[in-house]
Amino acid sequence: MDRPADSPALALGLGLALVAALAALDAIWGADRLITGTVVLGPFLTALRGRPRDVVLVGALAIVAAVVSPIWNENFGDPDYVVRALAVATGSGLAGIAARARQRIVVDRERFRLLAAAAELGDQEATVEEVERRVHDLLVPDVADVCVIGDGPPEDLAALGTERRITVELRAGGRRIGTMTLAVGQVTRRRFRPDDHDFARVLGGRVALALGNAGLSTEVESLEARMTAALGSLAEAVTIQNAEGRLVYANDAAAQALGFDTPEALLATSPQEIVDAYIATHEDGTPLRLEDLPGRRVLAGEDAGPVLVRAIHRGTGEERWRVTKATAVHDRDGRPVLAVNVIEDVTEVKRAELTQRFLAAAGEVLASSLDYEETLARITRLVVPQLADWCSVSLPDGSGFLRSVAVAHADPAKSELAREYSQRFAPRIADESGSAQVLRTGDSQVLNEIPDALLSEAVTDPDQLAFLRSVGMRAAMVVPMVAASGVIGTISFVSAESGRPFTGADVELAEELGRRAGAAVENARLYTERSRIAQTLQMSLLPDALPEIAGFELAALYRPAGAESFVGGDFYDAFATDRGWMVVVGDVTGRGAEAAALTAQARHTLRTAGTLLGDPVAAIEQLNRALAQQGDLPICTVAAVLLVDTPAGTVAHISCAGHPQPLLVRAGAVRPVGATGAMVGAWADATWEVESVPIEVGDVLVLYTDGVTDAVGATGRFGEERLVQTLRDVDDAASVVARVEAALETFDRGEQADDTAVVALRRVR
Amino acid sequence: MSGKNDFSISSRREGEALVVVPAGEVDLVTVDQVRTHVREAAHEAPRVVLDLRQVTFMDSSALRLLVEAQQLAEQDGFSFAVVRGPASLERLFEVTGLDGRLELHDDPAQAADGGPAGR
Repeated sequence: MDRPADSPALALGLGLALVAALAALDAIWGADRLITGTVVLGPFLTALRGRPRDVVLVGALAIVAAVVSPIWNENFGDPDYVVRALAVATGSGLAGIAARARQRIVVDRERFRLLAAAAELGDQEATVEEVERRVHDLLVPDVADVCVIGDGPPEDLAALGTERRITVELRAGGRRIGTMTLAVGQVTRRRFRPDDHDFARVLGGRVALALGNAGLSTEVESLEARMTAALGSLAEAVTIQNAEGRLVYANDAAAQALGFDTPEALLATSPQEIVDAYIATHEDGTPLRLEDLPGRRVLAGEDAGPVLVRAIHRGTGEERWRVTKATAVHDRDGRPVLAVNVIEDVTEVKRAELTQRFLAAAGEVLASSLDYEETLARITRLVVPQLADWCSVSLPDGSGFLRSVAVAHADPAKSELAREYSQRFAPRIADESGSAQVLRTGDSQVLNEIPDALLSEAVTDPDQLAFLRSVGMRAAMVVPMVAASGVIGTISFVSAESGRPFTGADVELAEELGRRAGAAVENARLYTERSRIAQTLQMSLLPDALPEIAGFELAALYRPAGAESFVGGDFYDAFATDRGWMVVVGDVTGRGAEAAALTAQARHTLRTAGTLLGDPVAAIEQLNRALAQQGDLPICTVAAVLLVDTPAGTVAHISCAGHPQPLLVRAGAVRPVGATGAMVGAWADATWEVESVPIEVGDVLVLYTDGVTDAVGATGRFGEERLVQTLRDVDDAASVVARVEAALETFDRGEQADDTAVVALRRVR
Repeated sequence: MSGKNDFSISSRREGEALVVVPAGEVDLVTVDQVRTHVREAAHEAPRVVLDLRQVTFMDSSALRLLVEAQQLAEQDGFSFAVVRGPASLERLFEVTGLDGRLELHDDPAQAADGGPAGR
């Protein structure tokens, strides 16, 4: 700024020199007009560059020279002299004014420069300390000797008056941020004038602005740094997308979640590439589109709720579940400019939930039916596609093969192929490896990588190998179906199209399914088996078809109580003995399997004893001996009839052991016949007798059990009397049965409580 | 219809004996209640009397119970007696041979005392 030519000292010096030189010349040569004119020039010369006060000094000197010169020019008192003196004085005065005007311009220019420089302070992103330093450099020494920015004037300057100190408040952003204090007199002898104060205030505004901005950007920077640190440390993955959808920020958790080492690596990858690395679907299996993600939707101005995504990494096959929530950041006009996404990994929770739901559903299916082939088919349909692309359940078929009894494939079109494969290529139980091994050892097998070399080594049949290759198996797992009796079958899972390997959690779930399915199948089989056994046994206990007895027609009614039994505690039988035909009817106390067993015993004992001994009493006694020995008080009642042909006619020898007497219908009348005695099986020393009754042609003999007479109806029990009434006038065996049946039907109220049996014989010749 | 729903049973002490009094029909449905009462009475008294005067019907399971009670008495060392019921039951006892095997009384007091049995 200091140019030698602007030096006020030089200007002053030149002016003084000129005036002095001219005064000297004037004194030497006496050419007064010339000198006077030239003396006027002195102050002007000074005014060109010098300070007003210097100009005044030179001007005064010129005037003095002008006044003094007539002394040696002997013009003192001349009117000429007065004019000359006036000219010099006016000239000096004008020079002084000119100098002052010039100085003001210089000062204004200087102030403008300072303001411009101060304005630039505010544009730079400097720290507060830097701005303060620049302000100091700018103002010292040009404007003041001391410049201090702080909070109020410093102590040592506070006492100075307004001539030597200016303190202005600095305000930025509506806040007071401090003061700037300028002081003079410490180095220079300058003094402040009122317009310096005004200027200082204007300058202060600029300084304040610069300081305010410096402080702000530092504040912003540290705020940003704090936020970044906070986001960085969050466990949740946070990403920020700009309005174009591109990621502009990602924290460490986000980078890791998406398979990148650092957030920078993630940000450097294009969104399409990031998405393509995964197979992403909604919970229901529909593919996820980019526009489904909430980030895009809030950027479009929509409200978007959290979105649950299932993502399987194409490379590793790892499956993760994530919930993404997005919020928009708006600009001043309310337009969304950023979307902040928070992504929470809920894989563990989701897996647990799905596992529970799956097991619950599987449990329901397994409990729903005893038809285990149907339930197994339903199980395979549950497994696919949630757990695997292909599932098959195999059981030993009894001829050395492990046969698939249920198959399902995620693609229904391939189900048929899968079924065919399972049928055609069923493994032998004797095989060393694969499902056969699982069946033998009870240990699951899991293969998460199935290279072709492994396949071609394990599978020799070319068709089978070709098929397996075409399936594109990515992973396979076989688990045992375990029941109380051991391993009863296997369940196979194959992952193909979905590309998902089987995790430890998958294997555990599959094994649990194997246990439940195994138990269910075994129970179903046991039940079926037991039912079959019960049925078979019962069938064997049914009374045989009634034999043809010469001269007689026979009919029988047999109705066990209870819906599910074929056989109850009543029995009847008719068999040939040496002495003639024996017909028996019996009633075992109680119901159920025990009664049925006793029924069998009683019937067969009577038949055997009767056949051998040809005597009803003997047969009864034999049965009594056998039963009385048993500890569980097996009591039954029996009515036995032996039909003997004699030359005089047919005689019926009838013995009843605790049993209702048979009824004889002759010529329409009904009467009970037969000797009565104790129940069988109660007392070892019981005895019985027979009553011998001639049976004439047309007679009807009716043996029955108390199921008839004890039947419950609206008016009480059926009773013997009603039976007698029912049988009055009956004239053939079939009618007996029909009538009794009809009567019971009309009479019965509620379910049949007791077994019912009726055997009718009619002598026809 | 009477019967199953009208069944009831009670016990009372008479001297040294406990008298079990069923009322209504004793059949497969109600016989277990009688069984329980008789067995409990057997634990609490040296003599158990089954009073059948209010019994309207007995089926084979009831008859079996009588045989069972008698055998139990012989085994466990208590005495067992029965007070005759209505005529229909009498016939039943005849037909099944129970009348010759059980200690039967006409009168409960007599039965409780253990007086001369049978007819």
